[in-house]
Amino acid sequence: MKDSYPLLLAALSLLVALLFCASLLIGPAALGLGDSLAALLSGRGEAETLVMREIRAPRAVLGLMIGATLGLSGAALQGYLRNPLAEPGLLGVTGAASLGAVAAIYTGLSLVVPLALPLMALGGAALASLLLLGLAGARGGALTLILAGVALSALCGALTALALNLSPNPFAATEIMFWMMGSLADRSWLHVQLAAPFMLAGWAALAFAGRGLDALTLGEDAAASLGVRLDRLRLALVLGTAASVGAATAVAGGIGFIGLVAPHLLRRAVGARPARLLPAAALGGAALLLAADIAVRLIAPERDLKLGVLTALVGAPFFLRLVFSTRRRLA
Amino acid sequence: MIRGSGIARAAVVALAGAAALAGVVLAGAAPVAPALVAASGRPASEAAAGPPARVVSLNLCTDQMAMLTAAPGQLHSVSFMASDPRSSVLHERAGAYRRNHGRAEEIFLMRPDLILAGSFTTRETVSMLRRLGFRVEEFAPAASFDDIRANLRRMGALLGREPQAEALVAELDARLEAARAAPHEARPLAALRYANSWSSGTGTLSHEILEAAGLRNLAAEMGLSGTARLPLERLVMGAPELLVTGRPYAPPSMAEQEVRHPALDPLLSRAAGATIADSRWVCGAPFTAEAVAALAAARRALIARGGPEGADHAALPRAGAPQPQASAPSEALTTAASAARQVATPALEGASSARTSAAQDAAAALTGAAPPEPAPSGAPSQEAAH
Amino acid sequence: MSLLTLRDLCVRLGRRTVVQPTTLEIGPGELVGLVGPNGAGKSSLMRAALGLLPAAGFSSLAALPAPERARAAAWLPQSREIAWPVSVETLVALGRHPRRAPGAPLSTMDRAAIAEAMARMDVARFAERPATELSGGEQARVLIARALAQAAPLTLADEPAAGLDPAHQLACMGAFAELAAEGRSAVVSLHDLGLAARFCTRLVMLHAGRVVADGPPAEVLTAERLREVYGIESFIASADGALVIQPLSLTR
Repeated sequence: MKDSYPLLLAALSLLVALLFCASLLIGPAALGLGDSLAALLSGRGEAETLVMREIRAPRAVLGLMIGATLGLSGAALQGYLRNPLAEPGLLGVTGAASLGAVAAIYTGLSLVVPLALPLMALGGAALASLLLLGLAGARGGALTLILAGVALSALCGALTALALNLSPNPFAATEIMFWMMGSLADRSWLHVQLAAPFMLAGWAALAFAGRGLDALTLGEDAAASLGVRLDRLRLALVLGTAASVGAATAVAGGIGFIGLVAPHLLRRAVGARPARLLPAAALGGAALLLAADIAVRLIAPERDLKLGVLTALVGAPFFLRLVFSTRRRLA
Repeated sequence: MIRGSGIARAAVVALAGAAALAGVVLAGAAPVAPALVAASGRPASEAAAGPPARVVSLNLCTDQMAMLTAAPGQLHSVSFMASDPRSSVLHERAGAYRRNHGRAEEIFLMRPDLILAGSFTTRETVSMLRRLGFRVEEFAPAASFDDIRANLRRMGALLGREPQAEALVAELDARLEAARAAPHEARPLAALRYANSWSSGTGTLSHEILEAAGLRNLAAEMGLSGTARLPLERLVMGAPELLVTGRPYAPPSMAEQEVRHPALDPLLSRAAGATIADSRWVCGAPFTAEAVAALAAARRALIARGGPEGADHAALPRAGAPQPQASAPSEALTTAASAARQVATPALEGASSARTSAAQDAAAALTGAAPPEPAPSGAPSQEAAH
Repeated sequence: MSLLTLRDLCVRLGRRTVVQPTTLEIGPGELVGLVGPNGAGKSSLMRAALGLLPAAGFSSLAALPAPERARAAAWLPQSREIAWPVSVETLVALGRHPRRAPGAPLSTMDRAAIAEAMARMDVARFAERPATELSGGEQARVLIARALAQAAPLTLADEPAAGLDPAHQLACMGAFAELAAEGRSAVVSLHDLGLAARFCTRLVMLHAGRVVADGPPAEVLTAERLREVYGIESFIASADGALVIQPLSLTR
């Protein structure tokens, strides 16, 4: 019997490529197809080139990388926790990363040390991951985990709002929407430079965890007996999630639900195998986020519609449906 | 159980009844309060007897207009914002008056004859003060120079200082005349950019300032009116020759960091900039003319360089264009803009004209990396640090 | 050549000693039945021997690094967890995990082992079906097949026959017996004394964490001992050269 997995990956890659190109061609400056391509590739037309190369290109790149990060980390968390409801947004990892990023920006630290921004976001995400993974395990069932995630999200959200409201800067209080909902508007290559190394490092760590996640299908005891080093697996997961989700949140705010929806949509197509789900969910997440970013620019071109609003509008009902269908397993 | 529920029911009924009774008593007592106050303070009906002797201002713009217009001893208190060097031109003079924070209790204790507020001052505070029997006059933010003239004249009428007000209007007109572009002169294209991609289109004071300085407004030419969003892409496509942005606040915010987008680098390296202190722009007042003058100077410098192609000229830091009327809700969001993180531009503020309190303008917070363009040596230097 | 050596292995949970210092040795070709009442410490002993539970004393398996240990012994835990609806074949293939290089496809030897394990446990016809859709007994067989596919010299199984119908119980124990006949070994904990008597070459009886008997089934399963350890009266007889045990009633 033929293995359809390579075909699936190819199809997803094609989808991502198409959405990436579409993302490059959509924006408030109504540029025609020919002009856009000419500006992007050969630099014809000064203003057009600026728009294409400095505004649209970094936005598309970030959409791709952040979407991939969210999908990948969602699949990894679900594989490790053996729970289809896990994802960095719901479990409070994104919220903690936002808190770290807010602390870096509004104290002025990131102006002095630009790397402080992704590093503090990474730190926040790491602490949250450690807390959650410590709660998971034989004693902590799915319900414990989700409740802990809810509590952590609420706490981080409140602390973020507090920090923003206390800031003497008049803009700070209004930026809460960005940190809660996320946006890719006006991102530049600076943001890509800041976040990409951490995201790539996180991807590497999570990819390394794939094989162990497969064995975890049988439970922790059996996986350990198969030679899986559970402590190393946990470390890879914490570091990978913290680095990639931390960096993504630091530059784009808190975007939720991609890590929930992408793995779920693709699970059946990869035969539910956690290791195979990782690359597939990464591609799926990239496609979802690029699509959402395109939609945001089509629906409300002149307004600043936050990306997270769209992902939440799609993702939250999805989550509810998922809860209903798995409720027998939960409580 | 049954006994308990009976007691519980009785308790609930008793509480409800007590609450209703309290409500009736308080509602009935309310109309008594203004009468009490009016008896001890100066009733509003007596105001017609002469100009108000004790004036309190709750709004930055009315603060400054009052300080300029009022007779000695007439103005009793100004808002705390009036002593902020960044937003207030007369911040040193503001020290002579009592500070208020716009709270009804403290105003009440001052027993003013006249309270000056902005039309966006907290509605609850204003209605509370009126209910307490005070006379509150509200000033809408100026959206044009005509509005500024009308506000000044009204202030003069309220304070019984019409001659002083007329003098201020005349001074404003004179300065505007001096800054006006001659008919044959070119009118370069300027763009206003505040944090979060906001800009000012037609019908705003910022737009009139640009026009008075002899510049065209990119947002207006794109059909925007009021305070509206001007997406970065459209700004870049519009290719303005002068970019007017705000100066960052010292504890930074993220929106401010985004105003300095790398896509604007080519524009900034060739375009001219002008430095205008926030305080000149925030309130529609005689000082607004100084903002106009600064922009007009920038326009002339731009034209003298022969347009945007002059590459040898060290570009000046960009102009500080903060706040159109600080009270407009959406405009209130858009004050300062930023220096970017690593690619920093120091937004050193010089006073816009040598005569005004150059020393009072704060220097910008310098960010980490060295600026791509050197700071202007020509601008009158010496700013007291924030 | 010993497949498993335990020397004074002792497990403490809090202040309670779950497994008293135990010395045991398992050689090749043995099918060892671990019997004893509930809470006697059977699972704890096996898990400690594998190094999955912190313990004092020496265990030759626990002393090995994880990859080698996985090649030396297979473990079938009592909790029959299948987290995802993977196909039966994928699940059984997980048993080959210790012998496969990361990212390598299944080798011919891998496929042979998988096919043989599935055939032995009679789950080959479910190969493409999601494992979570099978009945409890069928899932149990699939998981046993996984352990068999691992092809380790020693297999430890915690109550593998629980929940299986009589035919499949016999098939399961028969598979382990075949392993023993081939020179490999298995340690299997059981509650069904009849099965233990029928198939095991050696029985180790635990009572309150202590090994109270170790030897061939006929020596271990005496009426006296059953009365003492389990508190039951039983019927013991011989049929077709095989030992038959049937618990009858509680000891008064």
